[in-house]
Amino acid sequence: MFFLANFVQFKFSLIKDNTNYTVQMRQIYSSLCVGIVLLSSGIDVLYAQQNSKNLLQITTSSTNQVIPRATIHLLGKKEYSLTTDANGQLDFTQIPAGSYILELRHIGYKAFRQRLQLPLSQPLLIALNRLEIAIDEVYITAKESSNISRSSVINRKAMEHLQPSSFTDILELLPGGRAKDPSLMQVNGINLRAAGNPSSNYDINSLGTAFVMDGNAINNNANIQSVNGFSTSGNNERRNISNIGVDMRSLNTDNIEKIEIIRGIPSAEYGDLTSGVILIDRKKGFTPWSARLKSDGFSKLFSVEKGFTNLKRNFKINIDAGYLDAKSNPTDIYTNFKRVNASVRMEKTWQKERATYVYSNNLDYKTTIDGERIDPDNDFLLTDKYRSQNQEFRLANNLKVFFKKLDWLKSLDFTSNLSYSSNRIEETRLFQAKSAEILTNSLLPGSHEASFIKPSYISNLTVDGQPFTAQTKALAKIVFNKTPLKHHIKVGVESNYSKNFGKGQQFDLDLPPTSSLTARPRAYDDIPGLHLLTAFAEDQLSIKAGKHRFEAMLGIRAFSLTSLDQRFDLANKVQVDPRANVRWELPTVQLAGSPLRLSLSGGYGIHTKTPTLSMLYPSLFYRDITELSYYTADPATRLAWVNTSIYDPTNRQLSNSRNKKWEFGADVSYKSNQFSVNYFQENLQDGFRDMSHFETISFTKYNSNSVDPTNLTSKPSITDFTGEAQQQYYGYQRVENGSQVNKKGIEYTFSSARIRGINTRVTVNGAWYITKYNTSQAYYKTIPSNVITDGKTLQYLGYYEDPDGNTYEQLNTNLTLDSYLPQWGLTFSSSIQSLWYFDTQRQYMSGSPVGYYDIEGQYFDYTEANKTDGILSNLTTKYGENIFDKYRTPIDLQVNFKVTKDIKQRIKASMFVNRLFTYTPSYERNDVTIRRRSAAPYFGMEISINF
Amino acid sequence: MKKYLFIIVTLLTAMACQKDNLQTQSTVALIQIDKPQNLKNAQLSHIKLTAREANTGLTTLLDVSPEGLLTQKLPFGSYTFSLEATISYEVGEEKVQGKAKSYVENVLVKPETSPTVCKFFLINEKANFVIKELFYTGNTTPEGKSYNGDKYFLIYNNSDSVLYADGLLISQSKFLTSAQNMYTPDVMNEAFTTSQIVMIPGDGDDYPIQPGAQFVVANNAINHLEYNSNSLDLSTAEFEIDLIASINVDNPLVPNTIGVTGSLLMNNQGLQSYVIAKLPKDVSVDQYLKDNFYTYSWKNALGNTQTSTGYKLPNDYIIDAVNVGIQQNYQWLVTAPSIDMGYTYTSVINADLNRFGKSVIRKVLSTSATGKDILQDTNNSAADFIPQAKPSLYK
Repeated sequence: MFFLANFVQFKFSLIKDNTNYTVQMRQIYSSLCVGIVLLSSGIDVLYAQQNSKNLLQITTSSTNQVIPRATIHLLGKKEYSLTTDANGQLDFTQIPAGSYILELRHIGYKAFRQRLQLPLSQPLLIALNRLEIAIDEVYITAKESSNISRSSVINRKAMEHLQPSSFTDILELLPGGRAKDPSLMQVNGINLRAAGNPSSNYDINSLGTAFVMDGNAINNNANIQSVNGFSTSGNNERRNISNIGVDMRSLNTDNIEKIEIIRGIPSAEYGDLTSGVILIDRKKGFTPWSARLKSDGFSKLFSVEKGFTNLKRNFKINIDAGYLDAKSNPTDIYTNFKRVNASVRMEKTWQKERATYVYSNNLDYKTTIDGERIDPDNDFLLTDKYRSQNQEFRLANNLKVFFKKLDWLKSLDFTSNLSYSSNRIEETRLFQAKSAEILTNSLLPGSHEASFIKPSYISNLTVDGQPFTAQTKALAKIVFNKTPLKHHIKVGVESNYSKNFGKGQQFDLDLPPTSSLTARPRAYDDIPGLHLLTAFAEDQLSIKAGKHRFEAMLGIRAFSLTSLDQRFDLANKVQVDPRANVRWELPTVQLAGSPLRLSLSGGYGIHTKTPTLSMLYPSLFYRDITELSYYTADPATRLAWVNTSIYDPTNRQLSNSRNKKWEFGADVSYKSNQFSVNYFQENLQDGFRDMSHFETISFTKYNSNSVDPTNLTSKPSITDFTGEAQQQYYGYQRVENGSQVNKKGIEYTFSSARIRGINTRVTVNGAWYITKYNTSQAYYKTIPSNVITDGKTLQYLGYYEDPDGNTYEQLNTNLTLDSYLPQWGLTFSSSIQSLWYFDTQRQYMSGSPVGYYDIEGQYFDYTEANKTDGILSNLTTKYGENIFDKYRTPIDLQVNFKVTKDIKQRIKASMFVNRLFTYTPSYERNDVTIRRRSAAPYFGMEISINF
Repeated sequence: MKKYLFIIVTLLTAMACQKDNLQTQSTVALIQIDKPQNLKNAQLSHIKLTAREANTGLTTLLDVSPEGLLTQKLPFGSYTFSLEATISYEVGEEKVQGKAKSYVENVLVKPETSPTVCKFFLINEKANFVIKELFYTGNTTPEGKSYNGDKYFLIYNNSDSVLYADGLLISQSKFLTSAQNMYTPDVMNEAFTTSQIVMIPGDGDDYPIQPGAQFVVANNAINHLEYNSNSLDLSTAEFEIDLIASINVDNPLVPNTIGVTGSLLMNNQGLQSYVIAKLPKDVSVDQYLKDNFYTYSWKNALGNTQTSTGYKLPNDYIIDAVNVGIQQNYQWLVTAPSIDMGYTYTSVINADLNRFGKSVIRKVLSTSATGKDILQDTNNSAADFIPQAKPSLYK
């Protein structure tokens, strides 16, 4: 009414003047004005009501106020972006005729979408509803999902507010998570539901967590980049990406729409995992051009993206690219990490009579670069350089067929997922001998002559890995709805092939990167490919019994490694993982007029991870012992003899790693308030780890003094020397199922509805975890090499049954208050994160072996008397009286703030400060007071712009 | 008349006798004391002269005043003077007392002789082998990479008799001078804790070292200039350490040390101290190792108790000890103060990049009677050593 009144007034004012002339002028003027309004916004436009019905008026539904400067998108043959004027009006005259979808998003109001045909025959009036009810749907923290598998869902809004540099930062939102500074100078492996940071012996935790991107699993089984045995550069250790699963710092978050982290028992559709599943769904469909720029104390990040939708052809395409540059600290620009990623994703839908076909195609490129160089101003070593680059190409094709007319078969899903990586480590070092060292580079075993190493040379080491994986999967979804017991069945087969085509480690054998080589160059493409064949079936049943509802997800997954040769225990062995989740929804109870829902759930599952390529086909070990180093003044008379032993550490009895999980929990929801709590237990006995194996090496120790150098004119012969036959124990590493991980804990999440007025949600989440890590097998250890027995070393080998391990326990609570204030475009959150305590305890070890072997291989029991013997006492490690006590680090409290502001709907500026306030009191340990000074606050900001 | 003549003759005779007496004695100012060289504020006292007359064989013992005056008169003759005195002198801030000796032959005591110059030399009664130099930092190559084959010990015979190097133990401390801990049991006042000992080979008389002579015990007794032009030629070293575990180069011309325990690799920052010692004749190496192995524990910074093991080297066996540390990190001595009261250094700060190619060298105190150096050994390495010195074996 108000609008009409305005219009009428206006018309009258014009007619008041010289009518005819004015009317004509108005016609011309209004066309011009329409043109102007389309080019610029915010200019008042005069409308002639009788000439154009082809316009739009936007108001609010509650107060009937006009909404000026609202942006709408018209999607059709082409796309248009238009803005209403100060009166909330918009003319469509310039838009060509056709069918369009109108999309309107405005801060504080529910999004509006409608099909329309232009030109309009009637003005279109849109009244927008305030987002009040929808506000409760806005989560900037993790939400406990309603899936039957216990999982957390993190959506786009939460990610934008969190401002992550890489995927690792997302984990803060999980129960048990805490804000941590990004650590981009080392590989970030994931460890779900665990306390403590164990050593690489427990990498099964991250290796056993599956990452599934848009339905395609990321397979890292053929990744063998390793400089073990070649390089003494300490930095390589923390950048070793092999056998760690996915390096989270290589995953960017800008194009992700939703993340679901399954902490509990995943569906049988997901496999080759022991721990959990991370499901990542990337953006699909229309998005405006947007750019994001983030900067913090360690890194700078930049990304752009755009999504297109062609409604006529049912075709969507999304493209994005990003770049991250991180330094270990701002003053050291030579140790750095870079990441570049680009992605093109398309989806096309065909609607046919009998079925809908959806075909999607993802093409991804990603590269991460670790670099290190010596600062030229600081050092002489201008030649030393290290560079590790991992480039990955991924092509995934997926065809889904949705049957419209079939009774039982609902859909078929076919996937092919190919990835190819080019991983290269290049290290150039100036090698200079520390003394007259011997060059040990023999490829053959036995006693042989060797030469003295060149005193100074530049060595180049290249490690070339080219892992290639191909996954094909077919899945059928079947529904039986006739009986009261409803079945949703999934049946599928999957084939996974991994092989590394790389040339492996390459260097000049005469100019090795280090003088103490325990390995030799090895071509990775000599390793046979690995093929894993899987079949799975799962039924999601549900039945209503009165007001109760029961649901169960029962699945079974059978798999086998079919590419191994028969000597391996695992060759063609079929193993089966059962997975079961049940849920009982109790009848809703009416409480103060609203329903209170309660459900109890539980599950049990076995999860198996097969060994990776480098575990099944490890490199050979080489042990070189110097038998003679006859170094005379005259180079022509020098002689060196070396005994080389070669060991094949292939463990053909290696079995899969299996994790048994069971859990139960409860979920309560009342008026948008939700509370979930669950208890879980996990038991893994056969995690992969390197364990030492020992062999005795026989060699001859030649006596230099047995040949007088004074009259020598040429090299003496080895037979001129007298020698003593000796033996020594030598150890090499073999992959065994030697790690045990026991996890136990309680996770809880409470999230309230948004408190009206301030739109603030209170989220309290946290976890109590007890995690035990230890060896699950007995192990061997030699006597320390500095113990001399008759002028010889390494003459005894101890056999230990101590469980070398640690138990960690922690309890944490995060209290997050987040306010979502769309009328000001402001999202504000403050999080008080308290780690109430962190306990660590070393598992008790006696330190003494159960028995020992002498150099002849004879076994003796280790007696009390041996503990005081001058030599054999060295087999016992004496532990101090307090070493096995439980040590508690008390409360560590930090307060973090994050703010996101929407400016003019196009620009989003965010800022965060972590550890603005901290409370870390000092504590006493064994009469020593330990003072804790917490690290300086970590802060950063980012801007994202929509064009 | 005859009575008076008798008296006159007697008197004349008597006077004549007296004159004879005057003729057999010399003056008392007979000696010019020449104090030992390079000693600060040296004062001689309790000077005793043993004068042996060459013709009569008569030995006279006399006291001499500090100014060189004889308290008694010496008959004329040809003597050998042997003097002994207590000498006090200053080393740094400390006042030290010692003994000095002088020996002059063919001293003619006759009328109107000028004073005999008696040159005194410092005598160290407990003199034995001393560690003259420790070169443990190794060198860097011209390109800046580390090189550590050229480390050596330099041991010197600081006495005036022939000593034998056979069976001499060289040991590196287990404890670090940069990390002070309360060890239980605390044996430091009785023994030195070590886990690395090497021994010079020999039966007992295979390797005589003359007074004033030195010998080198090198890591690798080779010409290092072939590998590193910043280094030196150690192929003429007397002994070579047989490193069992690590890079072991063997020069067949140089006898190898015997490894008693551990593998003696000198810490290149200078955080560990060194001693030389000898086992008593009746103690074999195996017996020593068996009797002196012990376990000790301490609390670390976090309050956790840690244990470790080592061997005790009794202070009674120790001949010389040198404490080494880093100036800015120094916390404590790892030997009993009775065997060494101070420390010397090549590094000023932790990981001091200037430490390479530097050693610590013992100062020269004086010269002996035979013209050889007497090295300063006041059991205080801070005073006795020149820190950050250029290694003496460099050309």
